[in-house]
Amino acid sequence: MQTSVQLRLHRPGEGPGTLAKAARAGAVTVLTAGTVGLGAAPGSAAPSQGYVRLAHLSPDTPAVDVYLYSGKGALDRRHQRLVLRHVAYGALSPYQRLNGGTYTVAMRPANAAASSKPVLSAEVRVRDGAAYTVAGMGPYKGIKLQVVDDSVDLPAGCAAVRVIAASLKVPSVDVSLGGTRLASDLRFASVAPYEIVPARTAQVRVRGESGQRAGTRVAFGAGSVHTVVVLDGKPGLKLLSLVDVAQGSQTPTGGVNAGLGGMAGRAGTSGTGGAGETGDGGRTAWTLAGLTVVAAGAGAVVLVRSRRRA
Amino acid sequence: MLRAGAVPDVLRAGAVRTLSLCLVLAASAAGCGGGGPERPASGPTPGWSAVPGQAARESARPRYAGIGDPVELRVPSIGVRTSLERLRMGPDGELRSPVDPARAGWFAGGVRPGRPGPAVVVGHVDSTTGPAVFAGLGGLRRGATAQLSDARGRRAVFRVEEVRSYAKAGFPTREVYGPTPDPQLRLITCGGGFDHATGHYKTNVVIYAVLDH
Repeated sequence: MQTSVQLRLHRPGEGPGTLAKAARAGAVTVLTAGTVGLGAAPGSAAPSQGYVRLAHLSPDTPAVDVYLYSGKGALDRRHQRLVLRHVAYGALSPYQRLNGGTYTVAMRPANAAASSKPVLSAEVRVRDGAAYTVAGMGPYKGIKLQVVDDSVDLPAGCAAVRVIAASLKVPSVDVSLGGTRLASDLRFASVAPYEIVPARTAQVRVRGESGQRAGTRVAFGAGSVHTVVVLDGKPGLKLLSLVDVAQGSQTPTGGVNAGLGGMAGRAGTSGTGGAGETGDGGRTAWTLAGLTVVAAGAGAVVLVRSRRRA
Repeated sequence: MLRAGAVPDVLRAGAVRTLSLCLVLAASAAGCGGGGPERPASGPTPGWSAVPGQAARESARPRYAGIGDPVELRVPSIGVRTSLERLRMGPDGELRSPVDPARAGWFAGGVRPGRPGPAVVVGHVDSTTGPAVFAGLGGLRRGATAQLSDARGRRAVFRVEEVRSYAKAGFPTREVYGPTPDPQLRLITCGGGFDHATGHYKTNVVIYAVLDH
């Protein structure tokens, strides 16, 4: 059975002249039956943070310095948050953790002054708990900064993968995973939507329009989300396999019972929640260790000792 | 604003051959005085022209090697040093807590420390008679460090970002266990009021930490 989840695609700050079209939105085909469970929209270090990574995926564009500024369009030192120097074709930064809000990414020729006019800039609005890839894409003559949303809702136990076409030598590719088509006739400088795939290790195969081939073996862990970037290699194609987000192979549900009550009600001993223990008017009680059970003919008696605190 | 928390990620990227990185924090820039308005360059940009036939260089992905199964946890600021049990999930999908209140436990069905995703360590706040290994967890402060070691002595050090408290009834499963792009750590214990009917605390205290190094 096939169900469908909508890829949550966000087009932050898309404005005239500043942004290329964000990745094509589309429904994610669920290849494995199942209910939509814990998603792969990334959790975060602090629940109010998001992630951005920066990439150079324009094959005939020279190396650039990539700047990240807070806010919209204020490209000065005061707003500068980060510089990645001499970023060459095929390079992706690790994800940067950022507070939610609007940022501006700007690219300048490598070693150009920080005060010089950027050759490209784009705004990215970072939502809490979301992740984005901001990539210079397309040919040198038409390079644009694309802001791609890296969030996808996953059925429990599944993984997801998508393909970014960034080869100028092979401007259209078909990509498959086993018998599953991940992308057909994916054109240069475009991003295929995430496809939900079973959690297992499998070979991603890329085939160009003139028969060029490339492959990479990817371990799709449950709950993990992957991106495969098709690049110009030397010779042929080069595939870059990225893990966008990951989690454990098993995911517990709900809270954890990690206290036995021996300190219940004692001041300053039960963590940050200690202040909440006045619900019963300051009267606390605790269950005796081992729950002394007296089997007396008809049943059991649990001894509970209570004490009153000032 | 990019917190100092982004530094390790950026430094990590320094290992990437094609990137040479320089982090400029707001704090350092803010003190640099007035400075004039930026002067946009005019005319063609020197050194900026097409380079046909470039090939992508060696993979630029960040590599998080992680450590093996952790056997010890240290949280110096609250005096915690404990060997670790291996924790599993119970039949209802709940995360089981350690058998011994004096030791914490690592969720072995989850993430290895230092690999992308949230590694999870649970410890009791108290035993039936007194404080247990994570009695002081709620007193952790942002910036404190937690260090996990494997049997070969390899270490992964995490830095505390947030201390949160949740009613178990509204436990945010995704936030705590859900996927993350970077290596993280969750330390979990109990807090809040004790429910005598169930014999359990009503609240979980969750420490959110990110890889430091």
